Amino acid sequence: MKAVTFLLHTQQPILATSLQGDPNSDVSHPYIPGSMIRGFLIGRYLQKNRIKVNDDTLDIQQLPNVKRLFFDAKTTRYLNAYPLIDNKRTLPTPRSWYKDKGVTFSEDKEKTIYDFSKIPLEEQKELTNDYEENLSPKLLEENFCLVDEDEVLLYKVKRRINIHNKRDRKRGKGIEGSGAVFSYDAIDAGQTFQGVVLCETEEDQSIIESLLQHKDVWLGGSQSAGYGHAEIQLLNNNHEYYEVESASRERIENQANLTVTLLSDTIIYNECGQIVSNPETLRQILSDALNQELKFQENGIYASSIIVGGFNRKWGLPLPQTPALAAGSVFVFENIDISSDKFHEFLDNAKKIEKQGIGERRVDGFGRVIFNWLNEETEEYKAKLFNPEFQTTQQAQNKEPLKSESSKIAVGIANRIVRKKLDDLIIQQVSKISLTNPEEISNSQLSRLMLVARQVLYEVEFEQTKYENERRSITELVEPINNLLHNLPSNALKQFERSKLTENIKQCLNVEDSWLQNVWRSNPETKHLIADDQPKVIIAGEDKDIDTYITLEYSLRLIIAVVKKIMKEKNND
Amino acid sequence: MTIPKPKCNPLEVPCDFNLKTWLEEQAQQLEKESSDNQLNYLLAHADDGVIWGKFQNGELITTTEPVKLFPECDFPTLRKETLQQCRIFGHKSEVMIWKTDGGFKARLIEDEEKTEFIPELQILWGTHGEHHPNGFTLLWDGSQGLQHAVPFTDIELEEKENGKLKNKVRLIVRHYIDYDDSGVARIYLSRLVDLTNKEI
Repeated sequence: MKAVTFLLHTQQPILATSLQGDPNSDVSHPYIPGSMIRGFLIGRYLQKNRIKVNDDTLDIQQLPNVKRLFFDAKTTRYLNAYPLIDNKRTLPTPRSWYKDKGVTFSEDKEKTIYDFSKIPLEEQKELTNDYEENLSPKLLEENFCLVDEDEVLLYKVKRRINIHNKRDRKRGKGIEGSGAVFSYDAIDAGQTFQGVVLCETEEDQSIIESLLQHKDVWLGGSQSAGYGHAEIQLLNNNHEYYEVESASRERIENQANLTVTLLSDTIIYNECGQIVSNPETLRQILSDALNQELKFQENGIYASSIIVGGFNRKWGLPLPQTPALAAGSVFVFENIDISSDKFHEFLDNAKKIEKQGIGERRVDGFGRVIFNWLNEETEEYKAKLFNPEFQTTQQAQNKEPLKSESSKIAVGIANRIVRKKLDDLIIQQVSKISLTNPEEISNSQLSRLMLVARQVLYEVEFEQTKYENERRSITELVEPINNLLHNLPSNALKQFERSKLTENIKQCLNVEDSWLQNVWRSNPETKHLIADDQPKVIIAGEDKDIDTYITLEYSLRLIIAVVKKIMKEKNND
Repeated sequence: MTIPKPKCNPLEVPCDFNLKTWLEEQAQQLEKESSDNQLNYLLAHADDGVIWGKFQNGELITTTEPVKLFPECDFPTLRKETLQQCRIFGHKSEVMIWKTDGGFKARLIEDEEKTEFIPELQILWGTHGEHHPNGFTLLWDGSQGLQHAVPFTDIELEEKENGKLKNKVRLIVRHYIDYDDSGVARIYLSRLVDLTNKEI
C-alpha cells in the first residue's frame, strides 16, 4: 500500500468533538479523526491551487484530481491519527481484552490481560469461578495499545478539561440569561499522533506530501480560543505500509480461526438502507466481500456500538448522527477451509478488505479491518502503561537534524577531535615500536622508504578532499609502497628483512584489520568513544568515524615517524 | 410476540440512470398505485452539501433546479456523481437510494395498516427564516452564517423580530420496532415522514 505517514505534535489542546457527555460540553475523541485531517488538506489544496470557494470542486472535467484525492475512498483514505508511542502508531485496544476488576495498570509493574476471544468458554468459566483466580473481568479503560508478542504497552491519551462561560458578544462577558457555564474536554498539548493517508499512486503520494510541508496546522473546534495548534512532521514514505506488522497471508494461513478486529469505528448499511451496529449485518457484508460464508464462533462477538457524527465545513452543517460498531470490536469466526481451491481467492479478497476497509465514510478512516491481528495462542498478555518520560528522553536524543551550516561546524569539531586523538595514539605507538636489528638497514634505504611514504601520504590527503565515489581505491594508493618493497635490489631486500621492516610495513598498511582500530579500542583515552561498535566521535548528533582513508593516512604517518625514529637513534649511536 | 411491521422491499436501480428522472418515476409509480400514497419531499446528503426538494405536479424541484432559487446561497445541485444518500418521503412511504461500492442501492418502505411505530420530532437547524415565493423557506440560526432552505412554507415568522421562528421547524421521523431472539426490543428501521411547524 502506498502511504503518506506523518506525525502531529499537539502544541495546544485539540478539540475533536465526539457525541458524548453533557450537551452543554464538548468531549473530544481520544485521537485525531481522519475527517479532520482530510478537511485541512482539502483547505491547503484549494489554497495552493487557487481554487475559489464558489468553484465546483467536484467537477471532474475542470478539476480532475479533487475527487480522486479527497472524495473517492477507492483511491484515497485518510486514517485516524492514533497516538505514537515507542515510535510506533498505536491501535485501538481490542474489546475482547479483560483485566481483573480493581487492577490498575502502572508504568513499572506488569499486570495480566486476558484475551477472552482466545480463551475457550469452559476455561473462562474456570477463571471466573476458580477460588484462587477468582477473576472478575472488566474491560480496559486504556484506549490504545502496542503489542509485541505477549507484551503490551497501554496508552491513555492525556486530556485537558477547561471550563468556559458564554459571553455576550456586545458586552464581552456573561450576562443574566446568557452566561451558561460549559466545559471542553480536549486532547492535551504535548502529545504525538501518527497520521496515515493511503493512496494508490506515487503521483497522489507526492501531492499529499507537498500539502504537508508547511508544519503549522490548526485542527478541530474553538481555534480562536486557544485550541487546535499542532505541528506536522513528515516521515519517510519510501516503503510499503501496513497497519499491523506481518502481512495478511501469514496471519490468515497460520491460524485456525478467523478473527476480525475493527481498527476504527465502522458504519454499515443493512439491506433496508438502515445504518446499524449489528454484528450479523457485519457478518453478511464480510461474507459477501470474502465470497465465503462465515459463521460466528460460539461466544465470538466482543463488540460495542457508538454514535458517530461530525461537522462538514463545506456543508456548514453537522453530519447526520449514525450508530457505528466501535473501534476495537472483535469478531471470531469458525475455521475456514484453507486447503480448498477457493483459498487464494479468499486471501485476495481479505487483502482487498484490509486495504480498502468496509462500510461507509472509508475516505474519513472509518471501517478499517484487520484479520487475525493477534496470535491465537496468546491467551494472556503482560501489560503496563507507556512511560512518557522515557519517550521524552529518547526524543531529546533524537532531536531534529541540525541546519546545514551548524551541521558542518559539528562535523568539523568531530573531525578535529578524531585527528587529535589519532595524533596522540601515533606518539604512543611510535614509542612502543622497536625494530629487531635497526643498525642492519642503511640510511639511504630508510630515506627512500620515507620519500615514497610521503608521496603516498600527500596523495591520500588529496583523495580525502574528494567525494567518496570519486576517490581512488586504497590498493591503488598503496601501490608505490608495494612496488618499492617488491622491486628492492637483493642487498636492500636483505636489510629490510633482517630488520623486519617489511613485515611491520605490511601490518601497518592492512587497513581492513587495522592496528588503529585495536589501539583506539584499548586506549583508556579513546575506548569510550565507540558507537555502533565502531570508533566514532559524535558532536550534536553529527558523527565522525575512522574510515579506511584516515586509517591509511595515519598508517603512513606512523611509518614515517618510525623511520625518523630509527634514523635519529642510529645517528645518536 | 409479533408487531405489525411496514413493508420494506428493495428497488431495482438501473446501471445507467438519470437520478432526477428515476426519483420522479418512483413518486409517480406510488401515486398511481394509491392516490393517497404521495411522496412530498426530498432530503439528500451529497459530498458538497445537504439538498432539500419537493414534488410539484410530479416534477422534482430542488433549491437549484430547475432554477436557482437562492443564487446568493451556493446550494449544491442534486447529481449522481456526488450523492451519498437520498430519501423521498410522504405520510405512507419513503424511497431511499444510497451509494455503495457496487453502485447504487434502493429500497421502499410502505406502512401497512396498524403498523406500529415510535414517532420522533427532530428539530431542524434555524431560529430565523424567510419565505420564498416558490414554496421554500430559508432558515438560519441567529448570527451564525449557516443556512438551508426547507421545501415548506407553513412556518409562522415574527416579522417584528427579523423573521424569528415562532416554533422551530421539525422533521417527523418514524421508528419501527423489532424484538431479537432474547426478547430485547430495538429500532430496526426508521424513515422520514413529514415536516411540521406545529407547537408541541
